[in-house]
Amino acid sequence: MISRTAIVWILAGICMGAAMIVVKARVQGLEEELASLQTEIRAEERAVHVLKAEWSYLNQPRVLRGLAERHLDLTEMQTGQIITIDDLPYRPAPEAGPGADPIEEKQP
Amino acid sequence: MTRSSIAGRRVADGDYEGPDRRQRLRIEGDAKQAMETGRNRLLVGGLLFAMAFSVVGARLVEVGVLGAAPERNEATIWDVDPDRFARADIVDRNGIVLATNLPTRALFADARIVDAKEAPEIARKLAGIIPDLDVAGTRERLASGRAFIYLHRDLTPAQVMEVNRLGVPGLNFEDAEARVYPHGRLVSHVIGLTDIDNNGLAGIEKRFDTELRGGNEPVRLSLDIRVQDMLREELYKAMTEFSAIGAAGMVLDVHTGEIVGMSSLPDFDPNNIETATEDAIFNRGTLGVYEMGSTFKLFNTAMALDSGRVSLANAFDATRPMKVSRFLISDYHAKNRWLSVPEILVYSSNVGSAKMAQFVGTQTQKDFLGKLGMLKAAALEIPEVGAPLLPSPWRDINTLTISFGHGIAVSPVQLVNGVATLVNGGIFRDPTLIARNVQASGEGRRVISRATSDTMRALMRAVVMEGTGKKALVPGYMVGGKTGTAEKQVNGRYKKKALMSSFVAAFPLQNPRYVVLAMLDEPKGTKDTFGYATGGWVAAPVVGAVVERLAHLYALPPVDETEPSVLQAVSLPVMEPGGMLKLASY
Repeated sequence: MISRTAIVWILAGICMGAAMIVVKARVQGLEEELASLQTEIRAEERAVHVLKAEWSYLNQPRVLRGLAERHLDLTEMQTGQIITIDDLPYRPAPEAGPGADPIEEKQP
Repeated sequence: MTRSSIAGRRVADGDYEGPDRRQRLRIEGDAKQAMETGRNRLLVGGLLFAMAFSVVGARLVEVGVLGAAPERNEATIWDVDPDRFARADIVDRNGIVLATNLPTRALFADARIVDAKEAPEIARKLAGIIPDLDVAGTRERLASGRAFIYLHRDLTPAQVMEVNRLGVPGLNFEDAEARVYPHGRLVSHVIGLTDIDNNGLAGIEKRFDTELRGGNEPVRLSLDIRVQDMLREELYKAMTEFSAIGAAGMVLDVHTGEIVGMSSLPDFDPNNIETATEDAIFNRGTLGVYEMGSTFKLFNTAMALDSGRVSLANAFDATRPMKVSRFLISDYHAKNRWLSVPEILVYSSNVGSAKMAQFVGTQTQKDFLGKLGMLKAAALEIPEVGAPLLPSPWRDINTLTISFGHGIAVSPVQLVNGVATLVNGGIFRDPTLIARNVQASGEGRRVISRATSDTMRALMRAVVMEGTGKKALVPGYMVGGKTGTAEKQVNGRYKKKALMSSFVAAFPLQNPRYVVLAMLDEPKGTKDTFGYATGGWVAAPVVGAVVERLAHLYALPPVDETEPSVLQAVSLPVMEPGGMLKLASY
């Protein structure tokens, strides 16, 4: 009788031990993953830091203006181009009949 | 096999009566006692285990079923070591990086290993890879036999590879950091610079040295890099056009005291400080103190009006130059008649201003300039702030000359902040280079009444419309300001040809947002300006251009300047005609 109970306990002990080893191994694996992720994050952050400096360097207003003049058809803004929302005219009321709305006309 | 045979030898085997029959074991004597002890021990052990298990079980129930343990459902945020760079960044008000540390490699040598005879050869080879290497110094140090010598502090990855390829024993690398200024000379005077060991030497770098070393949080400046660029560009254009030896400019937010742009020319590249001259490192905007000339008439007028003893309707005698002891005060644009208070400002009359100051008195002038922050160095967050030069003792003749900006020298930042105080409703705030908002800029200190401030805005508008500042007009943005042209003192004598020409303006005057200053050091007149090098000719156009670009940048809505409500906001009260008061046009 005693020995049968003992067998049950021993089995339980082995199971627990095995489970513990498995869990421990998994935790270790996760910790390694965490450490490598942290290293990666640090490396990425350093890279971002360097890129930010480069971004700032490339975005010097003078450089941007030169690029815009060379590659874009933009001209300097005029005061008249700034208007308030109140200055915008209301959309004219559509006239009777279909197709009168200029926006709808453009639809195929 | 029967149980008895298993049980062991000590068991007295009875008669075997068949496989079914259980036999009672009988243990006697010593064996019995040993058995008892064993049982007791087992019992004690078992009880201990049972207790341990019941504790574990109880805890399981507590955690799993009752849930009494503190919840830890949130994912743990793993902090990656935040101390990555030896020095924090400096950014502009929009977060654009102005100064940052970048990883680099430093080259050092262990001269004990390096063969002294080969030192010249190694130095020559290194110089081929690193162009800015000091060859003679390197040769000497390589032969010195010391254990650790820096040869170069900042190598590119390609250079590191090349040096490695030389395969010289004793040459080693270490990780290092280099301070880099992506915008170079654009913000040089404000940011300052650091030495090779990342110690702040000037500007923000010096003033915030501890904060920059300590933390990872960037220092955010009030500067806007775009405003900085347009200010510098316009100043540079004017400086070249009028062959000036220097220039300074500033843009200040009148409500917060934040300096949005500050430029001093010539400037330097903090990435390459070796090439900078002393003149280029000098910050004309804050460290230089100058006799400002006529721009001081703004303060003089505000003082007279706010004292309550002078009103806009009063006139002062500017019929002839004023002679006080050995000084002769005369007018540049002389009208030779009685001038009303607005006329004195619009025509920039020295005589009228002096008379006005004389009328109000020396003590009032001193107190007023003190309240405007003109009598002590500006409280700015850089070490390069010049203290004003004041007359001592402050005689009555000083009162007269100070009224039109001579006999007192202040820094441009003091002038700009003073004008901001005049137009923002009369509240003085210390100027700042650090970003802050209206709440953080504090209550400020009232210097003049709101009514006087309104009058000053109208007067500044009149100067631009009728007087010396017409070239600063920008349609839609209600610019108002005052010109200043002062002869520079060299060795205690005024030099006729050496001028300090300036223009200080506020806009939009119906509700001022910014004060803009442009100053040119020793400009020379050109054909286009008919040989004039005065503030109205050389500095006012700079301010006009900066105002226009600034307004477009921030998309400030323009106003129709002929609209009655707008005119009303910057108009002077209509005065009864009589005596010398011919002010119907205002």
